[in-house]
Amino acid sequence: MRVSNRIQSSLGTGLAAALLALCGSSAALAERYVLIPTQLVAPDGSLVPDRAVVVEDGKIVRVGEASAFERDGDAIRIDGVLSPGLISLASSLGVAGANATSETVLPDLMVSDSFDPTDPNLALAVASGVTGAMIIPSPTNVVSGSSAFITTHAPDGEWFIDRDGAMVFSFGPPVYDLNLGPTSRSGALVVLRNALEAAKNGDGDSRLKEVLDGERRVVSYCPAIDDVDAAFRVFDRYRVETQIIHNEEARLLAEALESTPTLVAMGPFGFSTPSWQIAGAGQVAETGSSVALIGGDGTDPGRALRTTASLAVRYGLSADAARRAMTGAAAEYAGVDDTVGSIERGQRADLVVFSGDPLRLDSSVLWVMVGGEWVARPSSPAPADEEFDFSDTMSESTGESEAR
Amino acid sequence: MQRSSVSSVANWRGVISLVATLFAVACVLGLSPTAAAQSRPVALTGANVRTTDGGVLENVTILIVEGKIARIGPGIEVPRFSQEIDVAGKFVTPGLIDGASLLGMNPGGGWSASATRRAVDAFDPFATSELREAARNGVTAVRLIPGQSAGIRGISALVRLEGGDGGARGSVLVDELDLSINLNSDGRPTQRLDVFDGVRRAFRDALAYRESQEAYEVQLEEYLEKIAERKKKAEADGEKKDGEDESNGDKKKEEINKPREPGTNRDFEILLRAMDKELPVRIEAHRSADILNALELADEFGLDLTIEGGAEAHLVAEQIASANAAVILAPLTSGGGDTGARARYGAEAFRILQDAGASVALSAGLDDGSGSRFVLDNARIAQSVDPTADAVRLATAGIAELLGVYDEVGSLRSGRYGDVVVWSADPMEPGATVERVYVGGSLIFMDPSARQREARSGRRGR
Repeated sequence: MRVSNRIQSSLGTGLAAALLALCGSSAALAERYVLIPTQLVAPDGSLVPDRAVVVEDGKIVRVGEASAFERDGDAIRIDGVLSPGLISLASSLGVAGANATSETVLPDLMVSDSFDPTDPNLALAVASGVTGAMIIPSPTNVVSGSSAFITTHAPDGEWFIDRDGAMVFSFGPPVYDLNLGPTSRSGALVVLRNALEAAKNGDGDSRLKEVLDGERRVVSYCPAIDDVDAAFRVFDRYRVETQIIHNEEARLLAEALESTPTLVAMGPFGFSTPSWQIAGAGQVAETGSSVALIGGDGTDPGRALRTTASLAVRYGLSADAARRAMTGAAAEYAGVDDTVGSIERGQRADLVVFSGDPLRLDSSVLWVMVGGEWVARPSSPAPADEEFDFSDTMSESTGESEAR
Repeated sequence: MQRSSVSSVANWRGVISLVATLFAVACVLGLSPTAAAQSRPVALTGANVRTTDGGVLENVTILIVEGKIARIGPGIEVPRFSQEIDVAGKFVTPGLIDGASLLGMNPGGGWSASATRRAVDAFDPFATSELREAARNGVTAVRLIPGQSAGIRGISALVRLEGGDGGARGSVLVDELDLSINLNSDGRPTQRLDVFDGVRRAFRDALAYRESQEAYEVQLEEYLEKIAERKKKAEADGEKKDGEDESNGDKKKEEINKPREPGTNRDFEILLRAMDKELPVRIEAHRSADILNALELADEFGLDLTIEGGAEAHLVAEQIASANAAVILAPLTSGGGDTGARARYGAEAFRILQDAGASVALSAGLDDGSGSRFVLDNARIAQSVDPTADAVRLATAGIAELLGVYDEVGSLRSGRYGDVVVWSADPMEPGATVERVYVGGSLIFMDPSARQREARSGRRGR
């Protein structure tokens, strides 16, 4: 086990001891683990007992019946629920300054260029069970730039699972700009159509051409339901499918999706979110569109995401769909579902052990594995290590919120 | 005459219409005698009931008579004419209680220094959707705080959601529950100073007021004594020197002034009750510095203190515990996004405060009344950091104890109010839904799908 991350260096002793106790001294250093949890979150989002997951060299190499691995020397019995690592969508984790104001059509902007791997929130994200994040440029330009997908823990410096992902288009008030233009909804659409038309004719941006040729995924950030309509109108013309980020008027969104099912990201939901808005997740899922959930950033994105999912279940989303919305469906939304998001053979070993169903808010994160490496066990007593002093992080973060 | 009309069948109709008219008039006048008065005993039979140690008692009968739990246990005989509801296999818990809420209120901000403002006066019984949402999530009572303004905010109340439509009528269980103060100040340091100073001055002024009241009592006594003395003297003099005018002029100069009555100040009267520990004081404070200020106030004026909100309470957990102050934490999560910070630290704060020995309870609607829907979810988050905590207990008996109303609500013991929730399954399971909510034995919410199921199976719903 490499000890190179901040969390690891502080939690390492306790965790290593736990692992030693579990697997014996030689096994603790091995790269192979056989995990037999009480239940695991299957690719369809359901909870399944009696399964074993074999991890080797950072990947899941086998998922099978637990009974077949009873005598395996590497077998670790886990009293908890094994879930794919949670995925934070539409995130700004580690992103510093991805809001260019030079022009409003910026297909060349790549959010990966503004990624800062020293962001302390990355370690907090891991501790909360988030192992991957789709980061997006701030949606303040009509064409905001391309998204990226990061892992939240990369001791080898390989942060990007996808450095240059979906092109993010932004609709509605965030893009209105008195200096730069556009200043209205119709103005924004003129700017966008002109840019796409130019690309289509070959004298525009090559990255937009990729969008039109279906070689690059499209994410439309739509604060209002009119914006969803506008996005569908614009991209339908080029027969391009767009994914949607929308939260507010989900009932109407569900109507719009009846004819155009697509991938939808919704959330975050909190205690103050109106019930009808929360109910939107279930309504959208019923249209056959895939629902992924956004939990928001902050210092405990895992809990925020699980709260969002748990409330969505209360108001109509099925539990299986909700578990998928935090993992597999989110990976699909980010276009990285062949690499992360489910407990299947060939996937990266990004795994979280919860004390119970991840949808239960009384469940806590027990262990986190990123890329086949045990990273954190945050429920152990807070370490004395100054670098990861709990109260320090806390006053920093309150200071931030006060400044806001 | 009365008897004859009753016995006469022909007159029945007239009587009924008269009663109906009177009833309508009474309703219009707001004298509706309906929902609160539970007409028939209600017996929930076959229930699963969670015990305090986390176990489950099966096949329990809960009998609610005249608004209160009359008996609870296995094998209880159901009286005739009771409304018997078979809840076999379902779970019954006490109604959930929120420790601090703005439910059904439209609170104003700004600065306040009025102790006489009452939270119940701002309760809006027409906020039906918000109230119904709370009821359908199993909430039957909230502690209403008097708005969000800074300074001395007024008097909190404990309100039970009574009446139809998810408890829209609301009924006050404890009208003057505590004095509510807010030292929180939107992050502006100068205002922080002002607010604290204003609160402290109000308490000092209240003490000065008491002194002047007491001084007046003394002066009044002296005055009355003097008057009596003079009267005596005058009588004696009158007997001696009747008709002598010379000395009269001098005597008149020796005027005896009646002391001026200071007048009653109702704000100060309330602050004095707080200082006499007749009224608990709940101070909203988030920063550690504000919390220390609150402890200072409590020490200086001898207050029975609870810290409310307490985003940084864990940083001063030792001080809070040694001052014997309780804590009602703000919602452990709210709108998502950056509030994840609070979720983490709020939840950790719960554990740290408990470890320090402080008594801790929760609130879900402190920031926003609609948050009271999620009392149990909030408690679940607390349980995730402290597995020894029991979310249902935190949301019922735990908060009732801290608020001093445990003898009335928060448990399924006989003699307590019949505020109970019937769940489709163990309420700790994420899929569990609220099927019925009773307040004082009256049904205030019933899940429409449960109603349909019952109609299909031919069972009597209500």
